[in-house]
This record gives sequence, C-alpha cells and structure tokens, in this order.
Amino acid sequence: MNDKLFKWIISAITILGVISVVTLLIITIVLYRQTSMITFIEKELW
Amino acid sequence: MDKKKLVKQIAAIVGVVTFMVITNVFIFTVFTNRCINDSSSQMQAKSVEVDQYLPFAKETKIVKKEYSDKLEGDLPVIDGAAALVPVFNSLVYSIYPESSVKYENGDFTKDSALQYHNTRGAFKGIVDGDCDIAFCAKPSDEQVKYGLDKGVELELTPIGREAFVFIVNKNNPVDGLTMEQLKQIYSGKVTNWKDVGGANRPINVVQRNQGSGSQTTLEKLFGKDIKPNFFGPLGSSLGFSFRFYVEELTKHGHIKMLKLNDVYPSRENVQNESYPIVSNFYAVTRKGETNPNVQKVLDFVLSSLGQEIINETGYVSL
Repeated sequence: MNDKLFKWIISAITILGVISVVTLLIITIVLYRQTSMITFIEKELW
Repeated sequence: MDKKKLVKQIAAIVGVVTFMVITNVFIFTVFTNRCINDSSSQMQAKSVEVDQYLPFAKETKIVKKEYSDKLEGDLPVIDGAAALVPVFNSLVYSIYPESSVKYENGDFTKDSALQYHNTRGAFKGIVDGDCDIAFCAKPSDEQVKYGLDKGVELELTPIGREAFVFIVNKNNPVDGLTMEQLKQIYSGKVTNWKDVGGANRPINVVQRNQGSGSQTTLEKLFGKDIKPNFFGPLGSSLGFSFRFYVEELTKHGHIKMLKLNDVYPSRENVQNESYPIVSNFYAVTRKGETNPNVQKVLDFVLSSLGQEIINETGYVSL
C-alpha cells in the first residue's frame, strides 16, 4: 500500500467515524428530549 | 521492509476502525438505548393507556359508582393529566350520559365530552375554550399568565391529595433523602451520590417538560433555577413524580420511590400527613363560568360519592 492510499483510507475512515459519532449523538439528544423520565431511569446501567 | 510497513498500515487502519466502533457502541449502550421505545406500547403504558380506563367500555379499570342524576343539556368538556385519567374517567362514568363519550381509533372524537391532552393540553384547552374542567396539579406561573393574557382567570378547586415522590433506579443503593439533601442536589451544591450515602456516581438531575404537573410542583418546591449536573448523564438519575402514577400506573418494578426524611410515600403516610410533601390536585375551571353543569360536576366530585371514587381509585380524599 503506498503512502498516499494509506493516508486516504485513514482520512476516509476517520471522517466516516466522526460523522457516525455525531449522528448518533444527535439521535440520542432528540430521543432524550422525547423519552419519559421513568424509561430513562429504569434503563440505567448498574 | 515493505511487508513490515504494510502490517503497520493495516494495524493503524484496524485501530482507527476499532476506536470508532467502540465509541459508537459506548454512546449507544450508555445513552441512546436508554432513550429508545418512546413510541412503543411499553412506553405508552408508562404515560397512560387511555383505552384501559374508558368509562363505558365493557372492560375498564376505572372505579364504577352508580349515580342516578346524570347531567343533561350543555355538558362540560373534561380533560386532564395522565395520572388523573382513572379519576376523571370514573367521574364521567357516574354523572355523564354514555352517549356523550366518543372514542374512535385510539382517540376521543372532537365532539366527545371526555378528552385527554395531558396537563399542558388541558390548561391550554381551558383558556382557549376547548375544555371546561381540567383535572390537574397546580398550574405553572406561565399557564396562569397565558390565561390572564387572554382574559381568562383560572379557578382551582382542590379535590384530593397526593404525595410528590422522588424516584431512582431500583439498583441505586440510596433508599431515602432528607429535604435538606434534596435542596442541595437541586441547587447544584451536591452532585455525587456518595455525598448522600450512595455510590460514587454523578447525580443526574432529570427534569420534565415545562408546564407538566410534576415539573411545576418541583419548581414550586426548589425554585426554577435548578442546576443540571454536566456529568450527570454518565451517572445515576434522580427523578420525581406523583405516588399514584409511579405505584399504580407504571407497575414495572425497575424504579423505586425514596423515603423523605425517613418516611416512605405510602398511601397511609399521605393520609396521616407524616410524608413531608403532599400536594392537592384540582378541578380547574374558568372564573365566572356560566354553565351550571360545571358547578354540578364540582359538587359531585366534592360529595361523599365523589370522594369515595378518589379514595377507591388509589388517591387520598380531602
């Protein structure tokens, strides 16, 4: 694998990764605003 | 040499992919998954399944009290909070004619005398003239102002009492708090459960929508300037509600109510007034209401039969 291709692959994966994390966070915030307090508390991880 | 470099490059790619996957899985497990199901039947049950409390359905969970003097003429439209659906649906059963309640495809029709839009919708309905009696907790300052801005003054008739309770996950080792500890938590002075005898976890001070009955009650107790803990979502939540709603309408066993000043919010402790925070709930009407049937409904709720309905439903009568 030449250096140019390697850098391109790493950049693409990083961008896709950041997009997926940001998307998931946005979805989570939207759901959080709609979910019931009781659901949120009962699904807490212990 | 080239082979070694290739291995390093592949390892770097795998490392980046793994990091991204782990980050997403962490966010999903800790946050997203807890917010899912808000439109599922499970979630709907936690609000209230209105069709299980329909006054004239063959199978209904309401308390049925027969009363011969049914209302006639201009029937007041009734609406109210989720937690009070069993109460006002039962009142409708006793004094409204069966033909006045119309429920189709999972909702009340517009010409039905019984409606359900929860606290915020019911208060708006009273002011806008879409409903005549709202069964709710005390209105927020904004709701009172909304009425006054439109020239409508609200009249509050207390019809029963209920404990305002604080709730946590059932695995949270804390079983009770004092009023002083609650004040410190809601003012942001105490932010970790370990400071109130619990685990070393941030306290997630969760709140409800502005204008909901329980949110308004919380703000009247601890002020509007409630400080959310930035790291709270990574910790364990402290929520609030009314006893009957938590105990009867959400029987799923994953949450528990906390003792307050060492008193558990049982029905008995509301009755004997040993539980520190007991709130009235109200029949809210427009001041100067001219429909005589509105007063008849209020008189019935405050009568011995009406108070029996409140008691037998699970609330505490006046």
